[in-house]
Formats: sequence, structure tokens, C-alpha cells
Amino acid sequence: MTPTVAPPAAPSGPAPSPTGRPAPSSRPRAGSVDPRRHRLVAYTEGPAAALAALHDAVSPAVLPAGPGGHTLLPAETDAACDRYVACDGPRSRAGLPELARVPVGDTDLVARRLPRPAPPDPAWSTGVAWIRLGLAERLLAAAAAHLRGRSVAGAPTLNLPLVRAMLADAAAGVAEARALLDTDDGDPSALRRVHEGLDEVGRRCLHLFGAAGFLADGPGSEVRASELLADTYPPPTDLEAP
Amino acid sequence: MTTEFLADLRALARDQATALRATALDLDRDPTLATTGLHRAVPWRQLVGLPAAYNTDPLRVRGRPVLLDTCVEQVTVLEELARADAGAVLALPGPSMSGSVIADLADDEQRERYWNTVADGPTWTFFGMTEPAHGSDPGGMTTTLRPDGDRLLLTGTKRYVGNAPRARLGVVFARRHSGPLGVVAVLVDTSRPGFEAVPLPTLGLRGLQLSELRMRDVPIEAADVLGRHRSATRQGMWAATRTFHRYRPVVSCLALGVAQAAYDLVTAERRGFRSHERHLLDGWAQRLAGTRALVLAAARSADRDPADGTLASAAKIRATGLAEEITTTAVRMLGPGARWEHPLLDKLVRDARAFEFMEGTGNIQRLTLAQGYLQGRLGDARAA
Ligand SMILES: Cc1cc2nc3c(=O)[nH]c(=O)nc-3n(C[C@H](O)[C@H](O)[C@H](O)COP(=O)(O)OP(=O)(O)OC[C@H]3O[C@@H](n4cnc5c(N)ncnc54)[C@H](O)[C@@H]3O)c2cc1C
Repeated sequence: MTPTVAPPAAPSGPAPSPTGRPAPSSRPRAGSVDPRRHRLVAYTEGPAAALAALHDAVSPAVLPAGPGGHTLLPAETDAACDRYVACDGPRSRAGLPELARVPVGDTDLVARRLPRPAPPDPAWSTGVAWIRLGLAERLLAAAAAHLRGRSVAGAPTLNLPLVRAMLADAAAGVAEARALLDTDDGDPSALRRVHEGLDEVGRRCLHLFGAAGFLADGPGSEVRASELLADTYPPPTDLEAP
Repeated sequence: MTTEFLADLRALARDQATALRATALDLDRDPTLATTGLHRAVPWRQLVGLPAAYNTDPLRVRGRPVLLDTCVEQVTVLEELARADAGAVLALPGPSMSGSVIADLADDEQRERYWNTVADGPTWTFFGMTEPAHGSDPGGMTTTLRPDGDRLLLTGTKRYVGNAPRARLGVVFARRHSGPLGVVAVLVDTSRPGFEAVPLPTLGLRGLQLSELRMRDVPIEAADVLGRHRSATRQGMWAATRTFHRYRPVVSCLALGVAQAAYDLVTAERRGFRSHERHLLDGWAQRLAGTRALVLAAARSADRDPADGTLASAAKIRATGLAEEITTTAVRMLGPGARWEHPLLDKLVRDARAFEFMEGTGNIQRLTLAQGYLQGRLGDARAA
């Protein structure tokens, strides 16, 4: 993210449940990695590293499609996939054109459109939601660090009451998303609320950053990546839910 | 200005906007198109508020010339153009914000020099206030104008300044003495030695081409200092504040244009809305109308008294919030992958985020509005 920003304080542990006891979703699915791990990778290393790790765990060598038939992966991960799963079984990914490239950190995310893909794997959608939570926490920490280092008439901008109010709104959004994910029982409407809430957190943080968040190579690039993940891999709607 | 007159003016602008819609995505990809083709696609001379002497073929509505040199005319026309491409509106050549500083501070010679240059052919200008460490608190600025023999030297860094890499002239605010009255506005010719404008790639409004001004001992003549015939209290910050008050309704109309464009896109791309979606769309339509009325009221107020920015702040808060909200929700309404399938929507989402910062953030508008209200400047029932 912004190289000038001090690394955020260590996150408050790998998502302990609010009660201190393991939440239902913390039971790892058979043969998969605890999805909460992805939050931590996103927080410490950013979107590309977190997506690469999720892909390794859930969809190795396979392009994961969202419900609209799109993929969004780090360029290296995308290049390492040789197939995707269509409605009627695995297909070679050869010749699929690139839709767009989204620069983030020191790499690009690559978007593609897949013809008639099979419905997405729920483990992927859940992993994406945890990644977005970690990214939101990373962003909020960076925004606080940014404003601690700026001043208005000699006082740190971070201490202005209106700024504190915005920070509190963002923190409440993070807390809500985390509470929902911690108690995740596979309810797609809960997952939809997670994404909406995290979108709000992202916008609030962009406001906090001032124009620095509007630069293509600043923290706004990770907000953009996070929003595009939500648009590419939204949870199923009520009608499509299993 | 009557409602019918403004409706006709708006209809005229809607026709002009067609050309901008066609180039919106190209300009977003390549901001340099602003200097190579954009000003030929629309009659920029008629749209940027040139004074009568420099605008020999103005727009005409019902036979009457319209110079677009009032806020009311500007918000009416520019909203329609922004509905096609807000980035293009901001990328048009012309006086933009610097013209307002000239109006308030320039002497006759400076005025003539400025307008002769700006009307000469497509010429871009800029307004350089924000610094890397000082945005919302311009009073903290550290760019200096200091004497050196019989001339002056300008030194400092400005950031997030629109149009500067393509500009021939601009206004830079710099400190001559300490204290709020120590800031002066300087008319800067970008070809002077020591002046550099470096583009900053942005996520949205890319046509505007934000930049960083790097100024190192730029030689400035006494004749380039604006307001030198004015009193000590009518200097840089005084003019900057009046410029913000005039330009906030304009920024608000651009945000409104983006909000309206996202609404248009959703209703054009989807059929068969569910009842809760209809309800949402109805709410948006009402809020668009409410914000439009507020922007017009703010523009009237700015034309009447540019010393008062109370309504302008109210308009900017409303328009900015609406643009962010409609564009963001529109993405969800158009289904999974909407930002890939509708590149124009993706652009609207990115563009909408700019308005929060232009001419002061939402918090700064809230502080101004609250203060104005408490001073009885909203013209509400208390004063009736
Ligand atoms: C598209 C675009 C075009 C622009 N064009 C120009 C231009 O042409 N010329 C120019 O000079 N500048 C321009 N700017 C810069 C703009 O004016 C600044 O971004 C704006 O003033 C905010 O300053 P900042 O970015 O430094 O944020 P900061 O001032 O650092 O603000 C950071 C956060 O703190 C909050 N904050 C700061 N001070 C206070 C306070 N006193 N009370 C409450 N909250 C506060 C802000 O609301 C924000 O949330 C442009 C910016 C953009 C994005």
C-alpha cells in the first residue's frame, strides 16, 4: 500500500469469535484451510498475496468463476491455471481473452469472462469475503496512520472530532462484518451484508485519506481491487442459493 | 432568469452533450486526448464563460445571448454535460477557477493579458492551492514568494492541481508574510524556468489530469502579483474563498450529473424491476430533483453574493453523497460482474469519488454550513 505509511499495528489475532470460543465457521471444512487465515494474509500482505493463497487452498490450477462468469486473479496466479470448470465439466482455458488489468501493489489483477462456467464454489466466495475483511482492516489502519502524521493548525488531524466520528463509523463496519463472518452459517444474505458493509467501510476510509486515496498508486487502488472482488464474486442471491 | 429559459438552455446543453458521451471512455483511458481532440468535439468557446468581449458568437436561447458567466447558467449547462462525461467538462480549455480569481483581484493590465491568452485558442489554466501537507488547512501553506533584487521568486510544491500539465497560465497561492493576510495569488506563466507540472495518475476523473506543481525559484515580476492595487484584507485568501463559494455549486452540478447518469444507466439496462427496487428508484428520482433544486438555489446565492458560501456547502454535501450512493448501488442492481459488463458504470463509480475532495471535503462543507446556519445566513423562517 502507501510506502510512507507505518506498518499497521498487529491485528487483534486471527479473528477470535466475540465470545472467545471458536465460532461455528471456524471448523475447517474437510480438505480445506480455515478461511479465517485469508483475512490475516490480506491484512499483512494485501490483495494479490491473499488471492494467491486462497487460490492455492481452494482452486489450484483452475480459474474460479463468479456467478456472472468472470474471474479476477493476480496475473501470476491467472497464468498458472490451465483450465476452468464449465457446466459440462473441465475445459482448457486456452484462448480466453483478457477483459481488463487492474494494477495493485507491484502486480496486476487480471479479469476474464468464461463461457458457461459451472456455479462458483462456496469455499471461494467465503474466502473472498474474509479477504475483503482483512483488506478493510488494513485500509483503516493505514488511514489512521496517515492522519496521525498530518496536522491542522498544529494538532494531529486524527484528533479532530469529525475525523474521529468517521473513523468510528468505519470501525463499526469492520466489527459488524467480522461478527457476521464469525457466525457464518452459510446464509447468503449475511454474506451479502458483509460485502455491503465492507463497501461502506472502504468509502469512509477513502474520505479519510483525502485526495491521497484518489491516486491510482495510493491506498485507493486496494479499495478498487476489493470492490471489484465483491462485484466479481458476490454471494449467490436468494434465488440461486442452494 | 425564468424557469422556461433555463429549461431551454438545458435542452441545448443536452444536445451538445452527445459528442462528449461518445468519447467518455477514450478520454478516461488517455487524458491527453483533451488537448488533441476534445475541444473540437464541442464549441468550447461558448461553454466556458468567456467575457462578452472575447465571446463574439455566444450560445443563444430564444434569441438572447448566453455567456455562461453566471453560476446559474453554468450549473444548468454543465450538469447536462457531466451527465455525458464529467471528466470532459473539467478537461475543457478556458478560465475554470482561475477566472474567478482574476475577476476579483486582477488590475486592467493583468485582466487583459489573462483573457487575451485564454481566448487566443484552446488554452488551459489551473488553480494551485493544495500542498502535499496542507489540503483542508490552506492557511498552513509553505509555498513562498520572496524578493530577489527587483523581482520575486516563487518556490514550493502544490499537489492535486487539475489541468496544469497542459496549461499555459495559472494562479498559484503563495505566502509572502506569516499570518492569514500574508497569502497572495500569483499569475504564473508555465514556460518560466523552474516551473514543472508532473501528472499524477488518478482512479477517476482522469480527463482532468491532476498534477504536482514543482516550483523552484520561478522568477515572478511585480506585475504578476494579483491584487497589488487591493487592500491588505482583499488578497489571496479573500479571493480564494470567494472562488470556492462560486465554484462549489459547479462541482455540485457535476456530481449531480454523474448521479443522474448512473440512474439513467440502471433504468436503461434493466427491465422488470422488483417492487423494492422500484421503491429505491423512486427515492433516487426524488432526491435527484431535490438536489437539483438545491444546486440551483446555491448558484443563485453565489451569483448574488459570492462572500456567502452557506448554500454552496449544503449543495455540495447533498450532491456528492447522492453521486457516491447511486453509483455504488447501481453496481449491485446490474448483477454480478456489472463493472466488467458496463465499463461506463465502472467509470461513473470512479468519477463520483472525486467530488468529496474538490473545493473542500465533506467535513469542511459541514463546518461551513453549520457556521452559516448559526449566523442566520440560510434565509430561513428565523429571518422572515
Ligand atoms: C479530483 C480533484 C481535483 C482537485 N483539484 C484541485 C485543484 O485544481 N487545485 C487545488 O489546489 N487542489 C485541488 N484538489 C485538492 C483538494 O482541494 C484537496 O484534496 C482537499 O482540500 C482536501 O485536502 P487533502 O486531500 O489534503 O485532505 P486532508 O486535508 O488531509 O483531509 C483528510 C481527512 O481529514 C478531514 N479533515 C481535515 N481537516 C479537517 C477539519 N478541520 N475538520 C474536520 N475534518 C477535517 C478531511 O475531511 C478528510 O476526511 C483536488 C482534489 C481532487 C481529488
